[in-house]
Amino acid sequence: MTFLSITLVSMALLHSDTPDTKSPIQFSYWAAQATQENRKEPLFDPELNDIRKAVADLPFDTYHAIKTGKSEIKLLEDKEFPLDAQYGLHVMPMEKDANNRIKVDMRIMETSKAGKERTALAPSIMMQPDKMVKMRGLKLTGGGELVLVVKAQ
Amino acid sequence: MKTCRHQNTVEAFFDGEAKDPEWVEAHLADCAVCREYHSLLSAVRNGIAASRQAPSIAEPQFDLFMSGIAEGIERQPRYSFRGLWAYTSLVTAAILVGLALAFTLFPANRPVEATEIQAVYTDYDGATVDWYPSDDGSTTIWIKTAGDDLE
Repeated sequence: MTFLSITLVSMALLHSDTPDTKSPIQFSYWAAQATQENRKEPLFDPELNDIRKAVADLPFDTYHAIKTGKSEIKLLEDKEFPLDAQYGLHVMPMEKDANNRIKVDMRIMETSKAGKERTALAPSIMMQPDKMVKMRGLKLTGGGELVLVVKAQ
Repeated sequence: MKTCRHQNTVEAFFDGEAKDPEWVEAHLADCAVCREYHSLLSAVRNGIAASRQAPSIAEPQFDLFMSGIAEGIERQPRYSFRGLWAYTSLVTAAILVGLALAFTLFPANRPVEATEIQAVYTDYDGATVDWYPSDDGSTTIWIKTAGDDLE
């Protein structure tokens, strides 16, 4: 009985204190063309419903989906998500810390019509699971801004 | 060990299945090996039969037997360290099981760590990048470009 209890305590301590640092991450992203069109009610494409709250503080009232998706990515795997002809997203989960935060290196690459490519924005983020990170400010050739919202868990 | 080719016949005779019992009896009288084998078979059978007999309590012992039982029932329980140890172990086990359940059901509260922007890079000349937390718990990264369009 005592042995069983000690085993249970040990398992519980291991379970509660050892973070899961090996398993792949679940990565979600929503890329939108954001514009301000002086609407009475903000307009969102249906694919963007999940980010309504997250972008509520941005000065836009119209969001059209460019690309959304969800993917499982292994640690240190560099995964590319083409967004449109202008931008593409690279994601590489680097590590998980003791609090289950996930360090993710991201690169938004911009490709010109002439085929030139450069890094538009490359943040290295220690992401809190289930908390969204949104990136804004990148211009779209079709007008408006690219608003890219990401989440990792 | 000496053997005789008629030992199988002796076995059958021993089991009462010999075809010619008179011949086997005559052979047993002549063959020392088979006689010894027959004796061995008899000893084994007797041993098995003896082991099947349940032990019985002889009549003169019965009163003593019953008085022993009565004494065992009426004897006052003695204070025992063995019982104390058992009780202590039981309490300890209960505490440990409680702790195990507590750790499993209510894992230690970890400090809440917010999202942290560790580094940002851009190829845009003259661009600035800011980041800030929002009320809903999300984080915003805002790149402000200076009309640095890619050709």
